[in-house]
Amino acid sequence: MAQDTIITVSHLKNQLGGKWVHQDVNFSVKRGEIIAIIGGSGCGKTTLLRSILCLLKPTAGDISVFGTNVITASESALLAVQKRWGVMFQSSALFSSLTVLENILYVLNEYSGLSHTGQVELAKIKIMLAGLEPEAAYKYPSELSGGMKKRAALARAIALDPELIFLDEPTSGLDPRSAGGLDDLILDMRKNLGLTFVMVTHDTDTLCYVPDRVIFLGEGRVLACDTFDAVKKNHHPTILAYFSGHRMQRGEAWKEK
Amino acid sequence: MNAPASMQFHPDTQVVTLSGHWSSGHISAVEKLIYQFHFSPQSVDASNILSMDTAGAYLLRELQLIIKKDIPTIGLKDKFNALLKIVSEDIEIIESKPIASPRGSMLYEIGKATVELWAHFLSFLAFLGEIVILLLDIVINPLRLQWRSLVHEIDMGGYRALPIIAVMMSLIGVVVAYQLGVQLKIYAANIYVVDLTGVAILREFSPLIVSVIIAGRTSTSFAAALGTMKVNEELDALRTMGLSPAERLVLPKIIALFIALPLLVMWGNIFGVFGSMVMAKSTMGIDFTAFLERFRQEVAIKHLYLGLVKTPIFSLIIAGIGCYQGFQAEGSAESVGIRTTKAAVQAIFLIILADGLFSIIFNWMEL
Repeated sequence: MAQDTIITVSHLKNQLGGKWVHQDVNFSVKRGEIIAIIGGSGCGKTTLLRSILCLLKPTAGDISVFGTNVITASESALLAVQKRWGVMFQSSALFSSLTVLENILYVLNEYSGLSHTGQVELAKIKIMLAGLEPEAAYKYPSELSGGMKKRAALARAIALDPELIFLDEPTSGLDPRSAGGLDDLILDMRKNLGLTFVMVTHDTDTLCYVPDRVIFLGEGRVLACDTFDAVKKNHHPTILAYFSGHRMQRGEAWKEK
Repeated sequence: MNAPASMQFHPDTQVVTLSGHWSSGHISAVEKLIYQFHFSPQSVDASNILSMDTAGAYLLRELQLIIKKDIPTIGLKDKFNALLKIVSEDIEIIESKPIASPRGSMLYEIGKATVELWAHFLSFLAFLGEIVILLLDIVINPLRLQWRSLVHEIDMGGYRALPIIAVMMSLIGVVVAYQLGVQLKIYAANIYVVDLTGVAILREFSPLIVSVIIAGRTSTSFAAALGTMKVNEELDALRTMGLSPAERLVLPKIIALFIALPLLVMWGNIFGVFGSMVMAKSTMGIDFTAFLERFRQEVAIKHLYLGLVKTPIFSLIIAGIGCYQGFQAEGSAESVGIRTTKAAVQAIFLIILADGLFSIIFNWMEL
């Protein structure tokens, strides 16, 4: 039970604007894993995420989440899957006209089946779980700092206690301390709540600290799928190019000190 | 698989047994039971709980609080226990510093609204002042104007509005001629339909209807476009480049409408008169040549001028209100929506108000 596969992507092909973004993408994610998807700009990381989330219909191929083929699933089957995942978008995508608390209540009200008082209490617990101060509950997204917005988005993503959470660049635009805090938060949530995470990130520190496996996307397919250290030692030219930037090198040097 | 959370009290053993899935979507029934619970059990048996999430953990904690005494909860699986502990700790922190939704008294709200109204009035004056200064600047140095965006705005707000205005004004012409015709027929004064429709369309209907259409069409589009740019910090980006958003974005729009609106009203005149001409022929038997001959003799040119003289003022109202409301948007998608609505409502209101004032002034000047 603990090691069953919850996402399977097989032979995924995507053509956008006359260009093949994905030619043959295959991978799977097991329950309780933290997976990071990396690759150069424009290699289709976000497109892959959007395909899995059913925001984009792939040109060909199959994607199954929790054993349901999300491409061919009926509305009701898809809804059952959607209740089991949470998504944190890159630009946080909080509803700008609602406070943080109302953002979370919006989902809880729809699906949780609790009374209003219970929902408010639960929403506050989510705010705490995401590492925000309780005072942030009554603030509007425009009044929050970048790091707080990310955390509020995470609080909304975990509103329904999903088993699977997608994170699009969770640490981008955060100072090292907040980013580190978010890394710990992800690990804590996996430990305490048994969640599975799929994230897209470029943050080297996050990459070597958080994920169990790293999927390197390039040339329209998965070029490597292994631990971060193993992927770094891969000799595929695209992967070498990705890691040859001076920031990656400097990060290494700093770590060896 | 989908057994909802449930709770049972056994009076003989004094034990509460919990079972099922204590997770979102399965707990609405058990929540009611918990708040109605009034027994004092000896222990809580949680060994049959199949799954638990934070919502379930929250309810379990509520149950523990309601039972109050230090009743042991036995058999809870380790990972659920860990979750319960995290949730309990978080609730304690939340309850240790109560936070309330910040909402003031009525007096506070009235005061806030008054101050905001005054601030809006001042900012509108500042906006008007900025625009006037920029306009004077352009008169002195016309090369500073963004000619390319001026042409673009004339295309968007003027040229592309031609079809809708042609259709609307033809229909207005038909309606006016029909209503007048019905009355005039009674007195066998059919031919006067030419004088009456001519004056009404040239002086009032065309400037007013065209301006209202353009207010609905263009004022809202200015407000939405500028409001979205403001929310996306695009206006701030312009400012940091040392470029004035008012000069780059507002001025071309205002000047474009200043040029386009009189032309649109002229276009509306043609179609309005055409509509009444068609109606006069089909219901009153006045053919086109007779209509135009009478029109030339009886409708003084001053009515055309009096209609057109109002349009520059209307164009300033439309573009000014639209841009001003766009600049006032802040923070959220909803505020862009509110500002767009306000732009349409205020622009149309002020156009009708200004039209009324023009009538009074013309009357007073005996024009």
